[in-house]
Amino acid sequence: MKNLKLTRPIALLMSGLMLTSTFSVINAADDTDETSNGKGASIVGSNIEDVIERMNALTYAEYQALYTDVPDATSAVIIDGTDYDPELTDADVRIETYEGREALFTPDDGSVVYSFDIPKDGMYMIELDYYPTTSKQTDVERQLYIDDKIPFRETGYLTLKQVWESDLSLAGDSKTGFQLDALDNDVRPNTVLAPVWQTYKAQDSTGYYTDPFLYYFSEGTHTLKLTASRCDIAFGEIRIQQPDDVKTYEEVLADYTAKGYKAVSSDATVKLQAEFPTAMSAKSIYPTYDKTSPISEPQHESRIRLNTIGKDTTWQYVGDWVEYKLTVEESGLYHIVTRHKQSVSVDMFVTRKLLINGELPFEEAKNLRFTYGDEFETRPLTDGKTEFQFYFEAGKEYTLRFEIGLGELADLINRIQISMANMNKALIKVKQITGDTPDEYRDYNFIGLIPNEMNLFLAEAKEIRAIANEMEEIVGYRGSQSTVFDDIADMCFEMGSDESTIAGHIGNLTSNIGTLGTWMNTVIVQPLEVDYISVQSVDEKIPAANANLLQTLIYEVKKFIASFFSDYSTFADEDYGDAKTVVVWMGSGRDQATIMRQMVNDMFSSQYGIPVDLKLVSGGALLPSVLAGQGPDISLDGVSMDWAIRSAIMKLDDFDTFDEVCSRFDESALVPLYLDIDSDKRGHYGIPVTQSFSVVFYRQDIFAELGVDLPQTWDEIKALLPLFNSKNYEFGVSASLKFHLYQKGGDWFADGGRRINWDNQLVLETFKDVCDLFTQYQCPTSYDGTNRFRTGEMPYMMSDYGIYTQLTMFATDIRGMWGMSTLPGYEITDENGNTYINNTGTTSSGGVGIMANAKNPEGAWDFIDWYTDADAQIRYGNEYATLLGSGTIYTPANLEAMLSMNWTNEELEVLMAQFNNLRATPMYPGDYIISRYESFAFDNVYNEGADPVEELLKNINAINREISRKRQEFGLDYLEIGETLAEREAKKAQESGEAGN
Amino acid sequence: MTALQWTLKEMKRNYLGYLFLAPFYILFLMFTIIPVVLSLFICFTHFNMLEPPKWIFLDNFIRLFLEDDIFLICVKNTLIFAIVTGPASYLLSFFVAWFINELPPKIRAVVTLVFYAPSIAGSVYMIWQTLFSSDAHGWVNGTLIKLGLIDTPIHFFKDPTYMMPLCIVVALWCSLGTAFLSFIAGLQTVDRSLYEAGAVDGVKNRWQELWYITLPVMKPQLMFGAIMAITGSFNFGGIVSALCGDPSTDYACHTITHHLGDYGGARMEIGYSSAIAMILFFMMVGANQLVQKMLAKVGQ
Repeated sequence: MKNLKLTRPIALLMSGLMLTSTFSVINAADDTDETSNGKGASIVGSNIEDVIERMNALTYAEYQALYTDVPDATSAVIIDGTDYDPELTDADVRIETYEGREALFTPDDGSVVYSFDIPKDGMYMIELDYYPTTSKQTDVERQLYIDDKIPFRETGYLTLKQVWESDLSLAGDSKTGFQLDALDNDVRPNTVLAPVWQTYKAQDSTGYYTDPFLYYFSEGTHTLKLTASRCDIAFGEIRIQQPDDVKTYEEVLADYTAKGYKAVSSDATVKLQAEFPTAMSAKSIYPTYDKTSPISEPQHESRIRLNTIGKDTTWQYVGDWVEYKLTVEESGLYHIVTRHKQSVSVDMFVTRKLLINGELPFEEAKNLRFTYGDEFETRPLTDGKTEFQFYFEAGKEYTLRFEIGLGELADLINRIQISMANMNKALIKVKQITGDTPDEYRDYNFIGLIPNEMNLFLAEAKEIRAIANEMEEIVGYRGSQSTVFDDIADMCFEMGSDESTIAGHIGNLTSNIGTLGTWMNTVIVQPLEVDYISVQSVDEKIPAANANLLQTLIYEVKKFIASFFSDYSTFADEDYGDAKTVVVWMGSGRDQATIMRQMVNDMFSSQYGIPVDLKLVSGGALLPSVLAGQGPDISLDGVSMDWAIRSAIMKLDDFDTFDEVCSRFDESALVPLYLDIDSDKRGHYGIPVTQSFSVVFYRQDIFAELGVDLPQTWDEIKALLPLFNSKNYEFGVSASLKFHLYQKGGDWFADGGRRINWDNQLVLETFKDVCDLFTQYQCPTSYDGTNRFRTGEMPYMMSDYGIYTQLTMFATDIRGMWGMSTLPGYEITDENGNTYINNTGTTSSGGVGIMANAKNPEGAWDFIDWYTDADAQIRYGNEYATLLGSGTIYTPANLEAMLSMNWTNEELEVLMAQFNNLRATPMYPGDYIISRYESFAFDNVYNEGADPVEELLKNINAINREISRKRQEFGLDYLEIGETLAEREAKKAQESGEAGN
Repeated sequence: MTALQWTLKEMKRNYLGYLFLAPFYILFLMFTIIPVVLSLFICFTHFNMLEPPKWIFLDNFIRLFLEDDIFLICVKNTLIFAIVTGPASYLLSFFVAWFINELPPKIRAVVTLVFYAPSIAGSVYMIWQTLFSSDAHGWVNGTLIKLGLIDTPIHFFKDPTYMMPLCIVVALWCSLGTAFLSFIAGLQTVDRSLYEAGAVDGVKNRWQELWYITLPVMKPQLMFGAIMAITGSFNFGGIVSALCGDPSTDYACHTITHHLGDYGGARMEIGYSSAIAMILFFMMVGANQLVQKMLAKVGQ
């Protein structure tokens, strides 16, 4: 691997760069370990050379270009999945039987390797049979290596879908086919895993390439390595075979005529209700209901009837599919007519790919178009030009799979993506010269410094224009995005041809690329709502798409009348006899309440036999209603010290199962809910629900480009900052004194919360260090982290780990170029003389508690017990993400729930490392006062250049006064200002001593 | 017949009138009068809302005046705000209204909307946050850095040097509110014939017209505007919190309203915050008296 890389000139350049900058870093920081740099510096988890290799890996387009002369393969090599190479395989594999088929089970880490002989040079497609064994709720991800090398970048993210189905077991013989609630509404069925054997062709998971990947194999022995990055899976047969030979529709049609296929009679129509798929590929695809059209099937004026699939954004990500089984009674030619609506992706069409029994019936079936419109539409499947006919044989069972693809847009989107990446790279180069705020009137000598980038701007201008034109051709008209294309093209052209315009255009171009990126994100999602699929004769009239005036009128009038009799506000609850109700209030939003209601019905009330009165109440109403004695038993909106110390919420330590419940969390999650005072009120007042903490996000590409290691300590960061600043890169770091202090092993409070622990050398030094980061080293104090991270301005930032999903979902342009790492720390030498890095992070958690005047505390405790348990938290987290889109993340405090989320192993390692290294502060009376004085001190240092030590010392008395005053108010032991507990004890001892004398 | 008996009799006779008044008065009593009276009581107690109040008589006030340094800062800030923004916004409202009133009706409608817009559109002052953002990419910071006047971004809303003046500017910008509208309405009710009469009686210029005719005629509106301006300037808290944070750095923009909220909200010391409210109440009443006296001199 090393040898080959060194032969590449680009790698040479890189390593040269690496060497020189490493050198300068070593000089800047004397304590940097030279040997570790020499050996090939590691960026936590992944080797810097790996990163560089990955950055330099070819794209599939480039890979294809290399092998245009190589003919397609004509034969296949079939490998049995169980026939792996035991020497090279490092994963803990075993042979299992699934549905009577032997397969190789591979866990969620490690690699499995197969060796095989290729008879003849050629381009091969890789197809494999798999059985989704995992119980995790995410897609399976594998990296594919050939001869231990990633042939092209996209093959590093092969996504294999799991199989799901609606659990209709609770429906019984309900008239709608779904379970009905007490008010006769359909209840959305759970989506459950329903694994069956699947066939997968190695292809691009982002959908930018619509055909399966073709890999080049020379004659001879090769290895195929599959490395796990997510979930376990079992492999059946692996086929390295010739590419599929898919006919065009014209050929298929000619074939139909030749065989004399005729249109079927009109009563051969088979109607598939879309809300009953036989299988789907993601948990987020589930039956939805449409209330807008009276002729959606089935429809009811006041009840909820699940009648569609894919409403809003529930079925929109590339690669996701739904499947239906079809059997017809008459052989012949059919139209497949869908009644559908695509009202989300404005002015664009969405694409579906139709696979019949796993195969494309003809080439055009991968470009099925569904155009934008406010209303439902009925149309035979079409690619925008031809309405397709299909031949089905009587009595035979067909599987129709509708899979999301990007169709004709795929290539364009891919090109835009590449273009954007190129421009971004060039912009980073430009910004390194000009800084954040370029001076239009200065001569930067761009031609001399970055001639390649100038040419690149010219090339991109041309490319963007070409893309814009093609886009217009495909879509049929100039959409809203054309102005952005034009602007970018014009700017790039000017920047490329006249260097004096570069500085002036940087800002605009950056924001335009941002707009383009956002637009791309809306285009690559492909939402579509389908009511039914009617497989009918080609001669049959297309059913009406929308209701006529009379139907609409009757429906609306019925709806209006029904609105007087239906109670839409209460969520129906079943009868649990005399059991006492638990009243739960939540203020977070209607969507969350709906999830909660459903969960309570399914999991809590039915199990515990306790009815729950769940109410959506705005946060401000809690205090007044508690005062009026009308409060709930439980409020899901947090626990505060003020309530705890004034006996408005209940101490939880005395419940029987308290310890058991607490064992579900990391200790650090419980601490913020612990009231630490020396009275009988000391104890836990809440059980954690969510927990947040920070980790480091960093841009591997930029660190690799500068050839530096990811800093592990603050000293290393300070050593790097001059280099980064000179390149106009920023570090986003925490200004929290508590955080830095904890890393240095200090304490926030002293004397059991009786005073703030600021008056000692350690704290004062720490505060000076913190201030230095922002004054001397000029780290920014306020910024939009996600954006700057994406543009590369801020290649290193500390941020809440929840931002992870946002980056994976929306920063697609930097996919695979960033990593997550544990926080930097201070080097500490303990009493035994061992040095280690203390990278403790601070954490906070949100909890749920029981009101002191709860009418049913036992029931409330049962509720909390259930709610904070892994099952409930996992389900809540999943539904939350499903409902609010995959960009959101729920950060549960429950360890099991946190671990079960969508992490790759590498990420999990980082998270766990940080998770085990968290520290929190308990609640003390008067603690709210500290943050303000801390920020006063910091602001004064930053604004006025005041002395950090002085500023901090100045505020100690004000804080201690408030703490003592509060403690006095609550009848607790308190200290006089300027006094410490030890001093007081000494004084007392002395006094009593004197008295004794 | 005692006065009481007479009152009851009259009330009985006019019961229909009382009936019509009742809905408003009952609500007014419950939600305005009773709370005010209650807070008069609460300010002599220690009360945390969740537990019953404890009578401590003057302790709150003693602490307020003798121990609480921050309260004095608040009084100072409040007075600066009130004295600068109160009269300034009042005069501004009036003169802008007066100028606008001279415009042809159609243009007047448009211009009125333009000036009134900032106060209808809720938290529109947040645009100042964007303008003066502490981010190096913020409008003002970005421009200053570009012009080479500064190197590192200034934290406009965190730096006491800039906070107060900025807040006053924003306050003035937002202040053309209800008072301004009532002035426009008032100016339009002035009877034209009075000006003619004035001209006959020897009014020489527009200033005399304004002072001797316009202003005396629209005294009710002036009074209304003044009360709005006073309450507005004393109550000027929300904008500061939104821009500078609550509390603002070094309490540099901490007003009495903030102090009140700090104790009433964050620290749950309702007794103490009632005491602060009382002080604010009496300051406003005093300011009102003063303004009424001044307005009485208009036109003399």
